[in-house]
Amino acid sequence: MWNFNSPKISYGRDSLEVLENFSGKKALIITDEALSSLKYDVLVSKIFEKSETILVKPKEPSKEEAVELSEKIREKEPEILVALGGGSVIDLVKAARILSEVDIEPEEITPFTNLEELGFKGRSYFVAIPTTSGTGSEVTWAIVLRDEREKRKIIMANEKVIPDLAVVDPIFVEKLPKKLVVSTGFDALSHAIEAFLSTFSNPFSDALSVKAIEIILKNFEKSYEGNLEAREKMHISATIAGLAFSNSQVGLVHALSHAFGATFDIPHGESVAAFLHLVLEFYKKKGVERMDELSKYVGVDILKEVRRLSERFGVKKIFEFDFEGKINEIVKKAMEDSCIVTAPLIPEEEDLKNLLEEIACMREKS
Amino acid sequence: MPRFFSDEWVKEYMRLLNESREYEEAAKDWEGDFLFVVEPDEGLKEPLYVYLDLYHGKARKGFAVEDPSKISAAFEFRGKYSNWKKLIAGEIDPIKGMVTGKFKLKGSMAKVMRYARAAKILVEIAQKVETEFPG
Repeated sequence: MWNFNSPKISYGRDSLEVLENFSGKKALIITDEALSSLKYDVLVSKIFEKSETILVKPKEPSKEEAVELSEKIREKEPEILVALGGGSVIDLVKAARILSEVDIEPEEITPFTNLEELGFKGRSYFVAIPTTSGTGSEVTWAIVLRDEREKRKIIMANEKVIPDLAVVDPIFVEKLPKKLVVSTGFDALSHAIEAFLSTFSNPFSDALSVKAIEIILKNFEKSYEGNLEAREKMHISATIAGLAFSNSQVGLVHALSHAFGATFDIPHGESVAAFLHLVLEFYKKKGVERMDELSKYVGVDILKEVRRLSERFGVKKIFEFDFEGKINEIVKKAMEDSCIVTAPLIPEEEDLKNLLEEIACMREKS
Repeated sequence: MPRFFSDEWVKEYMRLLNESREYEEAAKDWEGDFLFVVEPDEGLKEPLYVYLDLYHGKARKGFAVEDPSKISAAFEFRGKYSNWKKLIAGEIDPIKGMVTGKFKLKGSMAKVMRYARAAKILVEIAQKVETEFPG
């Protein structure tokens, strides 16, 4: 027995207009300062007769920020709660919404926690509007927050976390900086690939994975070059990939990216971009058969294609860090990351140390 | 063949667990004891209980429990007998089982999330114990 979970999804040009159905409701819009400077929040707030906007810092959120925001949500009592932003903003609001109703530590939002038993009712209708095309957070049950004290990323998930409505309108990604087109594009690609390779993969997630990969491979470079039609397709594919992994889970690419990203404070997408082809090489060496199956379905050698894209976009963020002295710390964090249990093979600590040492050697040579 | 959740079964399970290098590595920092509960159905008339104290990659104490009110464990993991049989037969994934409500966990969920790999190995080792199921 397994479940398939999804919010209602409005997508495509003008899909933002779906919010007009709620225009008389009291809305609380949460976005970040960078997006507000682009007036994106105004595009949303003007739809509502009564709305307030809270601006948060444009960075990966911490659990303390989630607690702080939860108090504001509790105080404002919105009928509609809108998270407008990239994965950071959406994840922050997802966590804060739960914490505004249930008195638990953020880490206690796990797949096994019965939030209804603890008093969660879903008091606000929750709308997520992504402004990047990567995390898929608008449709997933997952949340990633930073634990500043432990220099670790906390991975949380629960079915009650899933927004009620995802609005995937390409208007919000037309001005996406090229650097973000690359990192978020790799994030979406990694979600689709890892969802397919996951031990929890299933016919629903497989279909979504393959379709997302197909769209991404056709449109990634065009989107980077500024083709808006391709940009729109990338936006939708990120949501499709989000649905795939939310119902199947991710694996080693994410476990290592969380561990590395928390240790060196680098954005998630950049870390994922760097690890994706390295982990796929590792899987290939270890004989993960689903790699071949995926290549067959998408009609290209997936490893070669990911390697080509990595070279094309000059993905090398992790090579900028002298991480040799931190290998044990990164391995420990990765092995404790819940994503690792759904990887197509669960590596030994020694495997990860060897992998990171190989990358460190490549770094020295480059 | 030891009967499911008997003292003999627990001893054999602990033996296999304490021989596992994989479990030792995955749970090397784990500290926490469990009460495992089998709720009656499908031929099992009375509930079954096992206590297991897991510490730094080893099972240091374990036994079948007669009276669970005398046990105070940090974690409780419970499910119906029919689902336990499927878990031991590898027909239910332990994580999926908890997500879908076939098994219920009490205790610090956050702590368990960090040891998801160890939890998976715990179940895999239980699958290796040759088991006679009552009923």
